[in-house]
Amino acid sequence: MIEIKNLHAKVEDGDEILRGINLSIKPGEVHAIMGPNGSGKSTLAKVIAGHPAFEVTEGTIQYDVNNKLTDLLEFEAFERAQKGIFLGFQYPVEIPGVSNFSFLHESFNEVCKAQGVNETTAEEFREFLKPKLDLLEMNASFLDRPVNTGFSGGEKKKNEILQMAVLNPRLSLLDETDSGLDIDALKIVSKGVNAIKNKYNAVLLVTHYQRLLDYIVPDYVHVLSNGQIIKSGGKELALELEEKGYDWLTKVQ
Amino acid sequence: MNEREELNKNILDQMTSLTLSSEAQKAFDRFKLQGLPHKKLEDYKYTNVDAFFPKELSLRTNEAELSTEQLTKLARGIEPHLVLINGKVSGDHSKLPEGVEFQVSDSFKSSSEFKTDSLEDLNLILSQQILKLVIKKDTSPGIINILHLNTNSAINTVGASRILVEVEANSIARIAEYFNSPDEGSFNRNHLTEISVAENANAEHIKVVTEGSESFHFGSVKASVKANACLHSFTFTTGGKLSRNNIHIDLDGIGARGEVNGLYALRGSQQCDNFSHINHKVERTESEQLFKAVLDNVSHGIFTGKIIVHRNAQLVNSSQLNKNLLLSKKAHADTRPQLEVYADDVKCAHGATVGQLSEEELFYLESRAISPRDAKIMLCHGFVQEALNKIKHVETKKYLENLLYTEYEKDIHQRIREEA
Repeated sequence: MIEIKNLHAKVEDGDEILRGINLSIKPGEVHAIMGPNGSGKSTLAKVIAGHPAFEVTEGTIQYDVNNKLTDLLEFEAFERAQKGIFLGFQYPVEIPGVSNFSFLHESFNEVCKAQGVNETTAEEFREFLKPKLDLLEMNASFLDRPVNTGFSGGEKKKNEILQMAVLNPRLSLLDETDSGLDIDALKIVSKGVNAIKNKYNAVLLVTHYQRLLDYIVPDYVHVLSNGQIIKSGGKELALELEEKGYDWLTKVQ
Repeated sequence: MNEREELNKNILDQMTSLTLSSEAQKAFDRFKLQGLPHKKLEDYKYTNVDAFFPKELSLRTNEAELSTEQLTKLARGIEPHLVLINGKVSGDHSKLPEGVEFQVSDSFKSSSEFKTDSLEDLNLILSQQILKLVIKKDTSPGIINILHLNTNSAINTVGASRILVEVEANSIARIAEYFNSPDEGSFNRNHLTEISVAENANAEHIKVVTEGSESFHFGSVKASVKANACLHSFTFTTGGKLSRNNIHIDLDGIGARGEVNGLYALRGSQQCDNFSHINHKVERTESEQLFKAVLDNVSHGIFTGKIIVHRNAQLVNSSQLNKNLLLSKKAHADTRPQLEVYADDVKCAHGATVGQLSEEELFYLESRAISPRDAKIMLCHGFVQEALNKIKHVETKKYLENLLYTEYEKDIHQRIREEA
């Protein structure tokens, strides 16, 4: 689904953060990216999503569009989203004045338009949302509030997964979706992700903690350090990291 | 003699030939001393008024009528209850709803001794016809739409007009005043609305300035709010070359409340100077203000919020906020809160922001498949919505939303499209 080769990226006028990432994700897979603070985990997710603050200086990202590998870097963030790439934010942005409903509706219709499906009316969309709200145990009153404004940490993350459920992306990049969540909210968010997951889509989890991986079980775990993937393994690697920390890997390097 | 002195002389020369009432005579004496406001006055720090008056200014207002076609065009879809053309009442006023008493006279006195500035004196000298609306006690007559229009015969003249509104006890008043003039020609409007809100009454005054692109709009709203009464004031400005909106509110009775809000969306080289002055004269009075600005191109938005809490006005609650959104690097915002608090047990909050569209908010929307152009428009709408939501009268609010989203944004859409 996505082939990342020798990816280098930096902040505009800043230091290089990604220094040769190689990663391949196939449909149906769940990958977890772990690693110490500042290793480039969030940057990787943002670069794939097309955040304008980062500049790719070397390497390629090939993404499967209609069974054809396409150069993802050619597209702007909104076009990537239209092609099924979803970024779940670590810190979802508050947008006062824009209602959550009109935001979701506009977003959904943009994806429909791009994929050649009929747009929905407000009433149809409200119906469409009902089971998704239920899945995330969210009250319908969330829809009429401004986007993320005044939401608790848990509510913001649930709102991210609600957007994921609405847009039904092919590749979801979930950036520290577990941070700031209590155990009940973590369970609900994980339940949501697991319900959306199927053999046609893929998930890339960026996380610090093994805890999330108890609920969303990865097929592969990668350790990112200093802008490079220094070790990859199965889900047992996360347990090993939990026990030993990152030192045993970074020091070897 | 510099240009300002010449203009003042021209105005004074023309005034000497006028027949003045005693009130107008007093105003004339004051005007002789002060002349037009200028930048050295604290209240006019950012606005050079005389630069906006034409050199060949005439104080004579020409009466005129509008053809139905012209009226329809300038009315922009508003169904008026009262129409003023070049400052004078035109046609019949039979459409005014029940519960409203209407009179026209040249002898009504201003209800307040306080004069905001010498442009208000100019109004007292020049307005020949004073309209009075009384909202009878215990009634709720619904919206009253007043259209203030100009015709070409008012070019280069000062069109002065004055309305007194008396909102009697326990009544609910909804008044919207629309100011519009053609794009071609220099119109110099000078309007004064005085509102007295009696005990337990609830009044809303909405002022809409969509004047033509060469116009200078000067308008004062002066209000007195009595015990347990409430005044909602909203000032909406998208038109005019220069608009000066004075809002002066006296909270005179215990439990009086003033909600003073506004939105100014400017483009080109437009300038809008909002000057609000709220007097907390007695204890337990409340005021709340939100003024938002969207400034494009090289436009200039100004907000001054003066709040005075008098010595015995304890337990006052007052808040004020001015937020400016700059859509271009050359747009300019000035904002200043001026608080004078003489009582010791009060709550007064104030704040101001000036900023551009947030990159993080834009990216958040773009990451959800929304194009940069649509994301910008969504964020602009979100920004203004908070202010528009302060309008209580739903149809007027919808009308203004529509006006803003179609007329004002046309150019912005065009530019964003070109940039994209």
